[in-house]
Amino acid sequence: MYLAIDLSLYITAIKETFFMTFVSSFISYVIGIPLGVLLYMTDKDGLTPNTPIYNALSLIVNIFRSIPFLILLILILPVTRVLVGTTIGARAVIPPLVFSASPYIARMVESSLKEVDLGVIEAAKSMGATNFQIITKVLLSESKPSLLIGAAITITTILGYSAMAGAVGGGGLGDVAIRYGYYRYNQEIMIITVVLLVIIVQLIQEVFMGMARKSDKRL
Amino acid sequence: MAIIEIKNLKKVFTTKTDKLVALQDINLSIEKGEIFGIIGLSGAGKSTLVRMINFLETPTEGDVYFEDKNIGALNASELRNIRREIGMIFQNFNLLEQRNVLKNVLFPLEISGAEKESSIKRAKELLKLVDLSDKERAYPSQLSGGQKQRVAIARALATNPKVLLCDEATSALDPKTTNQILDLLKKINRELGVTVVIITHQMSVIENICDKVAILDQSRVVEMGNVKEVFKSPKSEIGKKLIFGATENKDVDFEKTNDKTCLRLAFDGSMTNEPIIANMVLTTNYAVSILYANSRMIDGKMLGQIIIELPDDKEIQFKIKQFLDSKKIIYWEV
Repeated sequence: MYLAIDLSLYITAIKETFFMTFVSSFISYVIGIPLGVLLYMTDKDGLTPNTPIYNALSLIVNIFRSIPFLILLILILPVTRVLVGTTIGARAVIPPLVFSASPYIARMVESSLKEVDLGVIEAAKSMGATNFQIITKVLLSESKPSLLIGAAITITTILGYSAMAGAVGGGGLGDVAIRYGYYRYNQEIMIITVVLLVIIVQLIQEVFMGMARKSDKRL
Repeated sequence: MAIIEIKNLKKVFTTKTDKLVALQDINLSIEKGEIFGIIGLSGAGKSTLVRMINFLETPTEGDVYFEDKNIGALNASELRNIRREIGMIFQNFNLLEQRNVLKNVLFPLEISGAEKESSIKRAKELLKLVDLSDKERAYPSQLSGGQKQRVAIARALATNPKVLLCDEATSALDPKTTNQILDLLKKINRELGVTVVIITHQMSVIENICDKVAILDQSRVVEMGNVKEVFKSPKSEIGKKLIFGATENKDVDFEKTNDKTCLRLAFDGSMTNEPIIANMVLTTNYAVSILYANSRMIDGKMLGQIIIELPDDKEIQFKIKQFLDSKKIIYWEV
């Protein structure tokens, strides 16, 4: 049967899926966290309110969040080619994933930071903390459990998007599902890939939720 | 020498539709080493006032001097240095929930760039001072309210401040814990020489530990002076209300009909439902006569006064006073 013959096919696909998901999640967080902090800081109730900057950032974030992923993937093909030198395969999916996930992460981070008690920030100020110290030692550390819960949601969403990229020649499990399962009407492969995706999502979700629980000292 | 000098301070909050004057014409001089109380009902502007001392709130007009330095004239980094000399504690403790007790106390030292080893030593000393040495590794969520406030006090003292600002520091605590925290503040004031500024709506807090008091009402200081003086004969309407629970147009002056010694007991809203007079009679074995009693609700708190006639026997008088002291009841002879 296909299962035995194509074992290497699944292994490669799983590897590609993990590669796409984690590399783009990582890059997206590198961009998304500072963006989220900036949104928080420049908000009218933030530490350094600046309405023009907040509005501009907010607009850009919302524009990218409102473009459907498949459209965005095609729209930025020229950018993708410049950045990774190709427009097909697992690597080519990373730029659109980053473009799509970073603004999403920025909003998640912004909302996590808003959960931090303003009284604690005031206390830090009263002790002579700089804004940078408040960001790193109060805002980000106090919201760590919430940020991890956000990461569970974000990374599983990125994984879902990465599977969608299979439709336009991206790699990974989504690619296998579409090429073998859908185009060749092979239901078995379709089911196997879907089951694999479900398992991976479960795994990521549980790992991050576990980390969030473990890091939360509020009981 | 005045350590904090507040001159013609005014704070106006501007909303879209309105301008709200939170404070005006505030002139206060807080002497080094004293415990200064600021009392008022909710909305009187007390919290805004204390936040203008360390510039967490910027005054609309007027100046605040700390050791003769005009705080409003400082740049950002100078202001941060001054803030390290002015500790602050809050009603809701405001501890970092994700850090344990020791790391909370270390926080101000960490951000001031202090060396790690000596910081840990200092933090441990402070935890000993507030009697929480055994809770070093505990997280705030594992502590009671009183313990949290003691951690907050240790944290506020970490950078060796000259002043400690207390914003309703005992308002979230029960009467017993309140007294423990007040005793600790007194100890810090006496032993470390830290000037303490206390914001409260509880008269008992003022009576228990403050040397001086300023009464705030409708955005102004309406009365100020030594606690004993103000308590004996409050001049302002709000002062009378807070101390005696008097009605607005009925004066509480009480005419004595004979020359027996009388005691005026004041209830300031912090008492539990304990039947004080009945217990006093049971404890002292002397049936006092109540000559006058009056109470009312202010701001959700029971305030009032009772005037009792004392016996001529000095020993029983002493017993009665001892009982009242043990219950932290405010009283004086009339």
